[in-house]
Amino acid sequence: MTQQVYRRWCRLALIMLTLIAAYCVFTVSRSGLQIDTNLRSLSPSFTLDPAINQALNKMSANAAQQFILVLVHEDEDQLAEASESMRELIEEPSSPIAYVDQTALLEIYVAQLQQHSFHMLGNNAQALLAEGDAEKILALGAANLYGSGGTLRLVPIAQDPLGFVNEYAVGLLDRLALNSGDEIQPIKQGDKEFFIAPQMLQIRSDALEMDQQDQALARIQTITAELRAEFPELKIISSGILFFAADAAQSARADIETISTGSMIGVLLLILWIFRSPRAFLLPALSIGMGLAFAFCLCHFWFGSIHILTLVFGASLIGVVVDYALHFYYFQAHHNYNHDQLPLYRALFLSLLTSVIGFSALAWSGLAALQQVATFAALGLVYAWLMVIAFGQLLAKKVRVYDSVLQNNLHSLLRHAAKVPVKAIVVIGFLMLGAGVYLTGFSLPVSDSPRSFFAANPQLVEQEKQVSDWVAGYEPASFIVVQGETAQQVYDRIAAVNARVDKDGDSLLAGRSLLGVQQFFPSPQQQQKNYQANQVLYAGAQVAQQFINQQQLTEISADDLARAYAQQKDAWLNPAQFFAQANLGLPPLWLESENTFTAFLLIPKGVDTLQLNQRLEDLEGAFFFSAMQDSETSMKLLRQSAMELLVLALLLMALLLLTRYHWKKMLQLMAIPVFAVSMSFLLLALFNLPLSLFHVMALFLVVGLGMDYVIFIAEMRENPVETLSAVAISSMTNLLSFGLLGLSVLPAVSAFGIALFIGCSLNLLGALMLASRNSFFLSQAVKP
Amino acid sequence: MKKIIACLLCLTPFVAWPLQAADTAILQEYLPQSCYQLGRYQQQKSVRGLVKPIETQGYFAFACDKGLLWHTSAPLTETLIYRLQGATRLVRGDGSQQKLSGVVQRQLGQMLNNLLGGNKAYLERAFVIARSEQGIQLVPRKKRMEKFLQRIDIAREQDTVSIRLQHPGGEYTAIRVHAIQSFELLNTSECSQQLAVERSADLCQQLFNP
Repeated sequence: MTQQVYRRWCRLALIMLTLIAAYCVFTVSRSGLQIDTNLRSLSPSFTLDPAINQALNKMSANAAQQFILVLVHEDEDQLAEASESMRELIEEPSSPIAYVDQTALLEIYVAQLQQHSFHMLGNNAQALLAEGDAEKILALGAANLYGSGGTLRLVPIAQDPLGFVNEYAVGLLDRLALNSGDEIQPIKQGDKEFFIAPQMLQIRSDALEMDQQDQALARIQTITAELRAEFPELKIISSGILFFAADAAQSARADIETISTGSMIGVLLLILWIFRSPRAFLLPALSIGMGLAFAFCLCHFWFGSIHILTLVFGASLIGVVVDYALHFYYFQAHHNYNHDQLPLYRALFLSLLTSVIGFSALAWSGLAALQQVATFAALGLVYAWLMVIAFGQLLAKKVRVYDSVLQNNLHSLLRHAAKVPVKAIVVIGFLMLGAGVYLTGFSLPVSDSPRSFFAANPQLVEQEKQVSDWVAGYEPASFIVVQGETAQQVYDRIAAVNARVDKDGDSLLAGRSLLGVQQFFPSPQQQQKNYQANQVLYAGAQVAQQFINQQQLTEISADDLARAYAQQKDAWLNPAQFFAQANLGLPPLWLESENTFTAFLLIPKGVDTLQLNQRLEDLEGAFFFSAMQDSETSMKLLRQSAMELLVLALLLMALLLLTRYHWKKMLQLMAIPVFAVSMSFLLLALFNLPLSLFHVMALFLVVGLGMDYVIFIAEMRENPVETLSAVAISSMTNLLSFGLLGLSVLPAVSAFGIALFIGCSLNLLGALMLASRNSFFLSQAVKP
Repeated sequence: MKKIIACLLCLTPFVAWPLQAADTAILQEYLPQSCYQLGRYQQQKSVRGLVKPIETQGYFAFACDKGLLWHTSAPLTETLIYRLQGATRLVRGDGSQQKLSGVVQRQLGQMLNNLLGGNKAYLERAFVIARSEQGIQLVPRKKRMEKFLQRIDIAREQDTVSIRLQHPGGEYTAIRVHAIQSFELLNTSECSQQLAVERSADLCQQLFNP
């Protein structure tokens, strides 16, 4: 095959792939872009139980949407005025934020009770109906009609003349201990006394939309500034995921901008120094850019959305393509324009194959997150490679290389390195690895906690803690899951959970309660008892008729009530109907599937969850769930899987090399990336940097780059100095970019950068030693 | 929760009473003469589904430093004691007592005492106050309160004050407060002497010296 035919085939393939991408763009443009930023999407364990996943999603949505602003002032009147000013500002029609409104919850709840009114009874009514004393029952009905029992009537009198259902409905307010919102409360902290007014707020629309979040934050800032101007002594303390997300985004943006500007300037200067023409940017920029766009379109089409980590990792892996462009420039610069480029294409193809195979190893994990990264990187690499082959000759035409200084230095380095015998290199290599293993104590420190990936602003953490102390609330990402085969079994198990939590009077909840279905509705058994008890009123002794006559409630028909009572015989209230309502502002505390009933109990903030977990350990059908722990487990699984696949990637690459090289040569070539990866692990441990998923993902790139270096050195052995120059420039661009990433304040980015910096340095060292094994330098080294 | 409070306010007979203590020019003539008061009341409350309003009557005692005692004498006997400090207590006709620690009674108690104490900041914040033909009219400032309470009309003739709370949907609560007595000081013994109800000593004790 001639180089022209080779290029023609590549162009044809490029056109076909571009057409496929165009179709994907068309489809995606109709459905809209979906960038998944949720860490939980990565978690394999979440997919195991859809019920837990559903509850968590709802809780996350609520948590992302709701927030608290606490106004603090030493003067109660000033605080009241500030609170009112805030209300006016928040209730402006165009405001993107609003007060949390529990009216809908109450309305839906009461409507639900009304449909099953004969199965509901308040505590006082239950006790009296059990006694069966008609006089006492009538007296309680009168108290509910005229006295304190009728203060708040939620259930219509026509349906509940004695107010027994109403008693249960009103009790919800107590059972839920609904927070009173902007009420003023006195606080004593040490010697200081002051007042607080917590404002429970929410973003009007879906908080996950960045625009809405930005608008809400801008509004909060305006309101805060206005209030502070009006009340200079006023303090405003904030609490909510919204503020953490905004702070993280802001610091990430600033951090990435600084780093990317720094690395961009460095890389630009380096390229300009070597090529002295902005044309040199064309091929790498075009191939990487188009490769990314292609991968993005196809992945989005295939997966329906793209995870943010896929973009970050995938884009980095596709970055390997910069090497292809550099080698193209070097090849063109040192050969005639019409010189046969097939050897270069062969080297590039082999390099592509090793990278694609290496990165594809991630797809073997069975974990959706890693599979997406693998697909993204492989697709992007193939497309970028085709771009380089199809347009490389054209775009590299006028690019010249001005690297005489670099070549002289490399030449000298290679001659010196050639003096070191192979055996010595091998021994030194093993000694280094052995020393590393010994010094790390044969164990690698690891970190899989999601907390360690993000640096939370300590001021916000402090405010969060402060608000938690003042305002009652529930843990946003931990709860107790109770499951059973029947609804009654779940209720019984909830009772068992409560008994454990309140073990021997030593309650973990300090007077508060777990929030669950039991606060909303009685168990099926209790509902049945209530229905039977109501017989006294509506079916047997007709006490309801007596009450109606006694109180002259002539508009109410006892016969209608008796009929309704008979009709409701087996119509117990199923909590699933209530919790399925979308606008409750509550997580689905009760879910039903074919054979399983699941209840979720929310835990009040500040409870010792470790002890809670211990108390529930051997309880049948109930367990403590923490999204944080679950994420940690998932991240651990991902890291372990990625580490195993890294080994698999190296094995596959070795097998591929065997198809072209003798096994000894293959071992020689593979030794470089294997050493770079192994030593990187050890150095990270020696620097006391706990290994995370981000380090391991970076090492995939290290392997990809390392393989590129060794393949080019092996394939372009006729021009070892030029090839090593290209490798050195490629390395320097990587070291510049990734070295600066290592300085990021974001732990995840920093981890990625540090691992790459170490790995790339070792790759460069390995490439140097490999190039020095070239017969030309070896022959020079033995000369006197 | 504000809605619930607003709802409670609408359904209780006491709401309008403290409006007399508003510290605005229009409200001056409705301000209570003293920090300590005793009196009688009659209340009519319309209830959806019933043509005839629910009627109750009874006595009250208010001490701005202790709280409010609200005694219903007909058609049933029951007393609610909303103390400034501590939980609300229910004393039934047979003398049995119950601590009402629920959020409804707690919030209601706090709100009532706040109102009865003549918290001018509260009144100014909560209502737009205007003169009407019969007296004054208070219209809630907050939209959420409007859902449960459209307006309060207060009229006064000598020692009688008429208060009418108008709720959406045509429902209302009308209270006639009369035979109001003001005191320089009110304590347990004075209260029990003046309050013409059974077990007054015990009830006043609950308010003044629990």
